[in-house]
Amino acid sequence: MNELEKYLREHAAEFDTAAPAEGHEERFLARLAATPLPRQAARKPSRFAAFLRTAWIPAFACAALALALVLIRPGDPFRKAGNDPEAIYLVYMDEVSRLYEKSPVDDSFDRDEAIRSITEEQDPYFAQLPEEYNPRKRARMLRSYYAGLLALAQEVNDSYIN
Amino acid sequence: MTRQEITEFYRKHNGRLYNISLRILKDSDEAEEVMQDTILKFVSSDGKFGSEAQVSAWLARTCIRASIDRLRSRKREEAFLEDYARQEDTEEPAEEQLQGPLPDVMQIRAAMERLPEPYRLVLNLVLIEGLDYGEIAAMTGRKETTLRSLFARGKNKLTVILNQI
Repeated sequence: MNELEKYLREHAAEFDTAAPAEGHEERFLARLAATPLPRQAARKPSRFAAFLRTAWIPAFACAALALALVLIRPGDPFRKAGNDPEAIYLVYMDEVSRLYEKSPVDDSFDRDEAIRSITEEQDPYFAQLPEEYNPRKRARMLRSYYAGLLALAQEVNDSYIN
Repeated sequence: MTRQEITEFYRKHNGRLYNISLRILKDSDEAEEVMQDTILKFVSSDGKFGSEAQVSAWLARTCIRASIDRLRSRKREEAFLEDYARQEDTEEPAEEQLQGPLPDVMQIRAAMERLPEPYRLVLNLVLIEGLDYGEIAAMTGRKETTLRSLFARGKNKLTVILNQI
């Protein structure tokens, strides 16, 4: 690099002395007004946003149906018993009786014994729950416990029928 | 960017970009148009730039590219870079030396104005804009060897003009 070259590189910024003709900023602003900017330009919605816009009604309907099923529980035998522990226990007993009525084709002795061993309680669960539990909590625990016993008994019963 | 921010951005960068384009095009109207095109291109893009230096570099290169494109499309010069290089002697000339003290910026600028287009362009891009030969080759579509040759000859011609002052 010779002296001239070095000098030019070092003083490059000093070459920027010319200015655009008067009115250049106004001309620029006029051009700017006609230029679509990112925020002003209509953006193409994303595919996900478009999906959400068209699918919210069916999605809302599905969610409402799921909620209704959870609240109403059409297959739940304890639904009518509410939060009354005794009523829940009675429902449970009714369901056990119905299981016995579903008699298998062959001798039902083994089946009856199996169901009895699952469903009979020496000391009913509802009587073991602490008194300080509020009715809702007691009802929830009872429903869960007796539903589990019924499911197990049903499974045993089905194995004999099939 | 809001309108106010764009205006401030324009005020900050218009001078440098205008000068870059003017050195290449030698036409104030065209240089202003290219400068404004460059800024509008930046503000209307949704590009994310990191530092101020990156923004500045992007603007300068975009402006140089646009100016070179204009220069080529003008067809004012019958011979562009490659042709000039071919017309000259194939051997590299001996390096001219400055006689006397270093001239000032004004004198050098005036001397550069007298250079034929291809030499002026390459000297500008290398010495003033600080681009390397690879970048210039990508912008102009010319070989690096051609550009180096033009640079060496242009520098000699500039020295000769300065020695005559």
